[in-house]
Amino acid sequence: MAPKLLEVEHINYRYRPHADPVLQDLSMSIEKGTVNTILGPNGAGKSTLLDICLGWKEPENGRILLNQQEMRSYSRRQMGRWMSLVPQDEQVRFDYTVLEYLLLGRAPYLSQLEMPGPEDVRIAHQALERVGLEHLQERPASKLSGGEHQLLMIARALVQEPHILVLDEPTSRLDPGNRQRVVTLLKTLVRHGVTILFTTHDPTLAADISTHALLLKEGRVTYAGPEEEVLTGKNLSELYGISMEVLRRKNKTIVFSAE
Amino acid sequence: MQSNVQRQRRRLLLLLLLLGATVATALLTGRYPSPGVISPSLLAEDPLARTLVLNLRLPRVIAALLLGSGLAAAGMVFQMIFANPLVEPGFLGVSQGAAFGAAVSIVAFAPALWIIQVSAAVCALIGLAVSYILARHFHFGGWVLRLILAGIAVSALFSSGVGIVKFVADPMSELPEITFWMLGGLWSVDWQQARSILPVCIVGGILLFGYRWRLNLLSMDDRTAFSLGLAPFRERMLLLVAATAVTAATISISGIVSWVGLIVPHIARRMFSSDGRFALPASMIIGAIYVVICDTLARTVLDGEIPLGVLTSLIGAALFLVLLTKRRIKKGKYRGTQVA
Amino acid sequence: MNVKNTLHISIRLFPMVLLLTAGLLFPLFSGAAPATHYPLTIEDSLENEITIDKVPERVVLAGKATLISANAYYLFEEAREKVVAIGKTNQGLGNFLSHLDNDFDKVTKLSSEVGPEQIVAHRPDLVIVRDFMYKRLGAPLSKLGIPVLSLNLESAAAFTKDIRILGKILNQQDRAEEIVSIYDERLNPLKEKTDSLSEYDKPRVLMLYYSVRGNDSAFNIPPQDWIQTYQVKVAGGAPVWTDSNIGNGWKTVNFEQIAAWDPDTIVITSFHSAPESFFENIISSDKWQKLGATKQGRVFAFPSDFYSWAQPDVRWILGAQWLAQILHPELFDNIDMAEEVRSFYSDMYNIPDSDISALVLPRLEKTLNQ
Repeated sequence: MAPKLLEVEHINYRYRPHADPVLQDLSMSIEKGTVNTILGPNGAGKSTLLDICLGWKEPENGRILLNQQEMRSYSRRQMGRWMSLVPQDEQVRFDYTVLEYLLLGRAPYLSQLEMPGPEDVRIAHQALERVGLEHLQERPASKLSGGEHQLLMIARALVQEPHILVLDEPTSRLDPGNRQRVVTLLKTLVRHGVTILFTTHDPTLAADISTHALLLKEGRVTYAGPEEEVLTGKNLSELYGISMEVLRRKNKTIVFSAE
Repeated sequence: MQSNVQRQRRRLLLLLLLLGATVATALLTGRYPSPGVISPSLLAEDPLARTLVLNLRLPRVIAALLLGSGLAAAGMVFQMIFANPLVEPGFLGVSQGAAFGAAVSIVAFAPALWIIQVSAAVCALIGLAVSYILARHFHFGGWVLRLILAGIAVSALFSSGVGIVKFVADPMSELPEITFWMLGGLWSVDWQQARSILPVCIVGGILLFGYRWRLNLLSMDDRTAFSLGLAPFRERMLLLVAATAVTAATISISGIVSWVGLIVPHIARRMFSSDGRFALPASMIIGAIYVVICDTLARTVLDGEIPLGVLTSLIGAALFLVLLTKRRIKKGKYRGTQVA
Repeated sequence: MNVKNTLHISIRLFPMVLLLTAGLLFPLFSGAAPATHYPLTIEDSLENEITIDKVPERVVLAGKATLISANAYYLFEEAREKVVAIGKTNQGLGNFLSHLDNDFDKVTKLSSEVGPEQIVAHRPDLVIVRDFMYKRLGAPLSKLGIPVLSLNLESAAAFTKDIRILGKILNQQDRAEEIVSIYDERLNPLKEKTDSLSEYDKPRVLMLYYSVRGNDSAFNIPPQDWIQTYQVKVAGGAPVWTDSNIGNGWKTVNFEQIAAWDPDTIVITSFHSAPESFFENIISSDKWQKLGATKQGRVFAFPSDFYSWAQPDVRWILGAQWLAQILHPELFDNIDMAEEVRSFYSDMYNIPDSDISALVLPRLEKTLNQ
């Protein structure tokens, strides 16, 4: 079995001290080289769980281990080198070029007063190539199409050279063409051994690229494990409350509602 | 990319040379012996001219330099940290708070110059904090709008405060005129005052300069900044405090000079790039050039003094309109870089 | 030498010795002022030390309220030609100095907002400013090594002191003493009689400056340590406003406050316009008609010829005299203001009587006959 990069053990989380818990007694783990998806209906707590995995939010109790060490023992910079985030929506607020924007991803490798050097630039170019945006390096980052923007976000996350790539709803806002570009990219990354964790409410995407899946309903894990076992019509129907079916053909899986 | 970096560095160097030339010209410009520029040879011949340049013009030009670069740097820092290209220290209650703090301390106990600066800085920070907290409590409009509205309210409160202090609590007329505070002016700056703000401006300036690239990251939302390994709150606080301290120090000797912190960062970003690495130093240099020019005009054009803020607002507002209405130079203007 | 010869010589020498002694002692007895020794270091009313190397030859009078300093300076006739640049001296009622001095129109005029560099351009060896202008205009100039004299002039004592300082600096100390004695001659008779008045006998007086800016008009009271307060006191009045303005500038008061004070006598001045233009309008308004002072006919316009007499201008003494015979006509029935004006202009400026009748007295006709 591959080593466990991230382990979450029996955590609870609530927004305010006496509010209802958002996550209850939740445990999960991520193995190296796997693609993990967190699936669930709106409001299930997916984003919160993601935030906790990132270290952005702290659970009330339980433990989180990163590479078998307590996450709390890591410095921010170290965390930045372990995990990188592709946010769901991010506005580019100033007129950075694509390349300048990418270089921001090198922050975890630079002290507070340092600036990116030639090596960082090289890594940025590499990431650009990987996502296929080389030709846009001088374009203003705010002037990209939706799909190009998402690829840029992934590229920046790659520039961080993380052990785990974390994506928050990576294809929710994309049209089918752009969605396919992102999927293709993610599959390429998977082939290169990148460990991925992402949330989505699109079960087809999950089935398409994941190796492992976790179903989250009302703050609790209903099913977790290898993708083929977890993503069944029965489980998904239970999760979403409508009749769902999973169709598996050779290398393509489709999930659809059978209402 | 490296050649791009080098190119930008060379342009910054050119700007620096331009600043040097501006300062030299400013020192030779005035109303003595007649309105206009004197030739350097006059300095050799005329001891009065020499004294004039050294004791009257030089401290003033230095103060203008510090004022310009400080306000422009603060403006850039504010714009990036609040991710809002429409703010400047004056919009968020910082300038007015500084004026209020300075006025109150002068009237209360006629203190040493550094105490005035501290008082100005403290009230400036209070102004900033209150603007920010108020903005978070407003219920309508986007973040940009809320911040500006809160800033307007806080600025107005502190401005009235200065008026009240002046008219009610200043029987001995220790405070300069209201026009000085509200419109700004460097006519009373002597060596003592110029020297007194040097420490804060230099330390603050070096700090902000050191963080010039890091500023880019601090403009991002908190979660993303966190995921990039930053402690966004702490670093933003540090830079905001430094920027506010520098602003407050200069305001305590010059009154409120508006528009510099708003317009100069825009010009800097246009000329260089949005990357703080170049935009911040550019902002500081352009700000210095801008205020030195305005101050020289203020004391030369008429035989009396034009308040500095009048000129910076006039020219600044005009430039702002030009910038807003002008379309972008060329879409897709690539800078033709090579990989290092 | 025998006794007879010694006696002869002594008798011959005696007149010479007498003359010599008298000559030496004469200055002591005549009270003639000494000459100034340069370089001169002297302290002015702001306690600033000024060092003058030699008699000033290039004098600049500048800054706000130049007219006050200028009118005092121009009392020294020999010093007039040394002025190379001067600020605004016309308060709105005419330019007295151009009548006084034929070369006045040739002197460079400065704006009241003038900056230090512009003054330096005239290469002065003495700059004279009002004391409140020192910080902004005087200090930068003295840092350049230019002597700056600040004049206060806001009371009899200050006036005397400042005149003497001017006299010393200009090496015209005898002229300064002359001026001081003219003022003393007019002031002492007032003080003698008013010093012994009981509080009960002093009418309550309100002095107002009526200012108009655009459509806005306001009444203002002077600070307690300005000359207007002094004028009222020395004229035997009790100023009602002194507790209300311990500050350094004119303070606006509204009508309610004026009514609350309910003074016995009210005097109104406007520095920029003649009384005809505002006085009637004020006292004929409904509000003012209800005031006790108006009903008693005790509201007066302060006289002004080229300048209002209610300011630290040299004419303040005339203002004090006028006020005294308004407040205590029975004590000062010997004062004939028209005569006082004539003798003032003739003593101070050597202006011939015909000119006084033509230029000065017509301006005072209305106010001196209230």
